[in-house]
Amino acid sequence: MTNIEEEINSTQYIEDIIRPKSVKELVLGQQDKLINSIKIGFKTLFYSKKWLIYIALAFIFLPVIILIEIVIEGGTIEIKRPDEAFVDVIFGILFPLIFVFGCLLLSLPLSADEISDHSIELYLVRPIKREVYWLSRWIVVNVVVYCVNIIIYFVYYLFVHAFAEQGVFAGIEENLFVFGKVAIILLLATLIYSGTFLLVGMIGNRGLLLSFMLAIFELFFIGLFYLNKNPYIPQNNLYEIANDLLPNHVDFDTPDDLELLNAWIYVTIFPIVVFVVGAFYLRMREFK
Amino acid sequence: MEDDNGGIIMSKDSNKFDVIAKLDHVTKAFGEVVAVSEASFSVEKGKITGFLGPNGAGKTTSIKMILGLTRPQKGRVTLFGKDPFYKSSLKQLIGYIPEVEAFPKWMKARDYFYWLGRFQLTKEEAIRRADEVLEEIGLENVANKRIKEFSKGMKQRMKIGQALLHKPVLIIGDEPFNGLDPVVRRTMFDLFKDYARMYNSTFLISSHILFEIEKISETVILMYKGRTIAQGSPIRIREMIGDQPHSIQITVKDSKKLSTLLINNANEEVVSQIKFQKDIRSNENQLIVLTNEPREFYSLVTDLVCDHEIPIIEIKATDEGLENLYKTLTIG
Repeated sequence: MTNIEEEINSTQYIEDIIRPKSVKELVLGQQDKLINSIKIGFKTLFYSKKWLIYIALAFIFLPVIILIEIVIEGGTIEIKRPDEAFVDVIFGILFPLIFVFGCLLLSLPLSADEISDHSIELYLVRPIKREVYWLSRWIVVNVVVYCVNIIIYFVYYLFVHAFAEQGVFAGIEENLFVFGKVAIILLLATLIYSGTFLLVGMIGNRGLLLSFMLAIFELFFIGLFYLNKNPYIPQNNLYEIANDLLPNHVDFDTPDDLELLNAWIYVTIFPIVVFVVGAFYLRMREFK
Repeated sequence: MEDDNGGIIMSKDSNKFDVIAKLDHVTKAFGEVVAVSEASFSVEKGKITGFLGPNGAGKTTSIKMILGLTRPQKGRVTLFGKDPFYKSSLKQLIGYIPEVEAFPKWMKARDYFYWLGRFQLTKEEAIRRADEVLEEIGLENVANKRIKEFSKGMKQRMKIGQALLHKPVLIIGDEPFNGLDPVVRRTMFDLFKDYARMYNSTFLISSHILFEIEKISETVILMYKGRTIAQGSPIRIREMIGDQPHSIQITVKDSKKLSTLLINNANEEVVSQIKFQKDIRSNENQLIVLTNEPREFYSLVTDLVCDHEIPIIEIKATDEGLENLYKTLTIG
């Protein structure tokens, strides 16, 4: 054994690992693990292929839209205002019918699935802090939900402009600001719903059931109750912001006591609260 | 010091961490079911410790408390003197072989080792260790196959391999030899012994098969109905269990051939009774063999399956023998 070898003895090695670390050491130590966990998360979502199901679901509505256009235009597809048609499709079909379900579907491989197949335990017996693991999953789900949806929305954007009355792809550049504003609303919606479903999915089977009910309730049944005028429903806040961002395209009937500033505060704070609750939940969660 | 490949070899001269893991009067209940009750034991550094008990004894719950996956309701669990539930850096020092299959479905064997290894190792080390460990567990030829295509025994070896990637100080195995045929089982015994010798790794290996544990353990912890009822050398434990007959279940396609060979090659002490049955779920043939000489029996089965090339699907002890021992120890 050389001198150097003698220095690296077991006690030193163990002590060095378990000694209290400074914040800088802690951050540097967890950085690699965060990146690794994010990469695993992306791969898990990619290979789960649930994004394919969601994309397929999103384009199921395309023939319906074509059919409606043909009927409206009397046998041809000629869209007079592609920007309006685009916003109508997003807020009239995609967002209310499948977006929330998509958030649930896309988050499942990293929430309920990792719990049920015990792979989360294999990650958590490694030196990654539970909060860092949660952060990695939160980032992955948000990025994937946003990217998948933005691709779908862009295809629809191309589609409505391809059948513009003024000519193929007429106005596609001029209307990009509409697409940009829709992208902002999509980002806010993603941050609200993706984190929520990731957290609810991690709670387990009961959580999964709860999230299904939440998804169905908010979008299909909530209108039946007085709650549809509640300013604490995320959708109302998002629609209030949409009214402001796209005044010439939408005019949602949002709650009277909902102000724009409050709506922005709500959609900003909601994901932060969900993120903190998720980090705390995973910190305390036991895997039996 | 470092080994030939640059990994750290733990020298045996320390005494500060002589006790690596400790349960001190620990109780853990799930609802009204008490999984662990006032259990106390310790895992000593550099030793292979067997953790013996029938199904439902509280072994897995104890292991999960040491791993920091769950917390005790009463008592104290320490790992390297710290609380494992809150101290994530401790996990750098441990490897865990879970009882259940915990494989992301999309992963290939090499990827699985690489991605898990990256939590503790640099990129270069993770690549190198992934290949080394695949070779150590004898799966280098299927490195690029998806794990979901593997047999039960291969998956079990993958579970073992991922725990060894970073040459941890403590390796905790929850029934790590389940589903392994006798030949591979012997190879894994040797692998564990190599890690204990080369890297001074400590092992805590749970099992409900005494004669499996006895082969590799220097000390054995006995657990029954949530309580630790004994901790000592395997010889002492075997003396206690010596008079108890052992029931061993072998799942094998050609059960008639194996049973004929067993009868022709063993005396009444080694094989005192053979029953035939079918597995309820898989409908596969099974032999239930009663033996008074388990060590000789396991040795004989290993020789027979190697000499006659009989593929064994699974071999495991039923809990009957242990149950008898525990009754003897607890009731008298």
